[in-house]
Amino acid sequence: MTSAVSAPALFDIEPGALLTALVEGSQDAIIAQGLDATILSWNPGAERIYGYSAEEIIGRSMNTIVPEEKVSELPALYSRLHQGERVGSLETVRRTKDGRLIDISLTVSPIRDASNRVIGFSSIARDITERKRADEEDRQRQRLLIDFVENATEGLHWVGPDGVILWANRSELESLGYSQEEYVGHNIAEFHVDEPVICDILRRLTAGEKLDGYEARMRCKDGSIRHVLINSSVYFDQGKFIHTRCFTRDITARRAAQEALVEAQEKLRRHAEELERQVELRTAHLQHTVQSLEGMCYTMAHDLRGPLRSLRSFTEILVGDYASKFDEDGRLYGERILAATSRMDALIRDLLEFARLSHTALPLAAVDLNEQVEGWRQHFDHELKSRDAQLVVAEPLPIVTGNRVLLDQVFINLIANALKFTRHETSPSVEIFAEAADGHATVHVRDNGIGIAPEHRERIFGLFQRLHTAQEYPGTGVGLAIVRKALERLGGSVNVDSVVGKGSTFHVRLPLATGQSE
Amino acid sequence: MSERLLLSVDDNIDDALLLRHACKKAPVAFQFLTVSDGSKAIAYFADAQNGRARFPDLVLLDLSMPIMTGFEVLMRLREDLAMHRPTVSVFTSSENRDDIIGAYDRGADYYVAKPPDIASLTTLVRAIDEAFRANLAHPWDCLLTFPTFKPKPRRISS
Repeated sequence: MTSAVSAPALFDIEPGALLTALVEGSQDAIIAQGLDATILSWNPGAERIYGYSAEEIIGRSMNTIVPEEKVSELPALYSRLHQGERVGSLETVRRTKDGRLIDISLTVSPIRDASNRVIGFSSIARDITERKRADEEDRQRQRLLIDFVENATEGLHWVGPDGVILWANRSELESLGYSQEEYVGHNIAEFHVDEPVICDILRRLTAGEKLDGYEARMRCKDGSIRHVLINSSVYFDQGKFIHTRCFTRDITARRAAQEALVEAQEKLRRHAEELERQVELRTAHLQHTVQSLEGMCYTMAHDLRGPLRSLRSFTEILVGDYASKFDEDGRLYGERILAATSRMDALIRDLLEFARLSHTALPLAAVDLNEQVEGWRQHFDHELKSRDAQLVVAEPLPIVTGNRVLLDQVFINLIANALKFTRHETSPSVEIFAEAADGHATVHVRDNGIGIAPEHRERIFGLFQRLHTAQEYPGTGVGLAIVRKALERLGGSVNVDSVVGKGSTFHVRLPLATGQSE
Repeated sequence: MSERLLLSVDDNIDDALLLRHACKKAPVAFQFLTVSDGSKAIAYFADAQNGRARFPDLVLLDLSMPIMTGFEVLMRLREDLAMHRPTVSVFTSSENRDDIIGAYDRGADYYVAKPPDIASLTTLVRAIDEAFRANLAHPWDCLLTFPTFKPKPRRISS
């Protein structure tokens, strides 16, 4: 319909009607008022904005829609209007019928009569509440963005194509310790420790590359050095390098922690090495000490035999060749000296034997224990016969890894021990039997002797440990110590089971000769 | 047959006395002489070389002595090629393997352990005496019947 009306047709309409149409159709509030502020006209736009209909507001004061806090603006406004001035685009606040405050942009013009006298005012108001809110939101958004950029924990900066810093955030300035003036406007290379690094960074960025976690070192104002990770790309506008977008993360603390960790690990490793070295040193020292002690023991035992030989020989001469010069007591005492020297000689011999165990080289070989049995028998031949004793060996015995001489020492000492510690009225019976398992043989030496109380079962393997007086059971207390020491050197062991009054069984554990079935 | 001479080199007065007692007790026909140190033994050999003393038929040499040990005596005897070399038996209480090997390495002819009692010692000197009396080519081989250590025995051709 509108398109059907041609422009020249508009000129045919009466000017008053055209004006009315414009006012009625406007979205803005168009209001006419008298000099006393009485509302004279009220268009639909005004009704829409303020909520009052023309019928209810016309004739009332314009102040109806002015909130109290804005009343003070009015005198100045009217004063200007009375002087014939037009007041445009005044942003102020009005109150609607339902009490809401709305922001408006107001233009007020004086209305003049034919004689050019001001007879009233016309006002055009536009509701700008929505626009004001949008502006406020924009501003808020901007504030947040600025806060985000300035106070991010990451340093941010822009560098131009010439390497000059165009902008940097607060975080970056604070972390490096420079003021805005000391940083922005300077070449970024001034703040890098490694020139080749910053050259490489700029070269890559110029080529359009994106940097992701590029490591660099920057120099702070106080001379200290910060380790940073750089993420960066260039903002190009129509192919033109505008500025870099650099994100700089300070990893100094992390690097320091890593370095401290590496250093601590290194320190620990060195400590461990040092400790190991000291242990080795001390072990060697200890071994040396033990060896020299054992050597000394051997030498001492040997040297004791010299004077003993003199003592014994001279006493023999006295008791033999000079017997007639002594009375009976004198001869008895001589015999006592000889008996004592014999005991001491036995003691020293055993001690020498014991010392020699740790003192001499020890070749290991397969030893068939069955071949040794005859030798053991011969060794005890006289004693077995004289005491009506039995030595029963359950052959075959195993073939073990060991040393013939040492194994003879072990079993001769064990058999001697078994024969010795039997009640004198009992016929001693010694049984030897064996079994093998897990690459080891266990040889048992069982007797029907007096037995060993549980509390003594470990003690008996100690040097010079005796449970009885020499009168009851003679001996030096070295035999079982030799057994244990010899077995230790052979990689074996010995322990004992016993029932007091019934007998004891010694268990000798030895490695089987290689290639021996169990 | 001239009288034989046995030289004992031993710093232990007890052992020298016991040897003297055993010789008296046996009794032996050979002459018996003791020097108390290795250096005195070397001096005696030098005198014998020069005809100022009698050359010993057998030397019983102790090992551990002050001033000059038995080992040193053996080495001196070996070094001095001009010296007529007596037959030397080590006579010691040591049964140490290093001593036995060391003595033979340095030219000892025998290595005899000192007997632990006077009866055995008497038997030993009696055996030597009998060997001398029998005028055997190697009279000192009788030593081999006593507790003797012989990892490397060797004989001196007379």
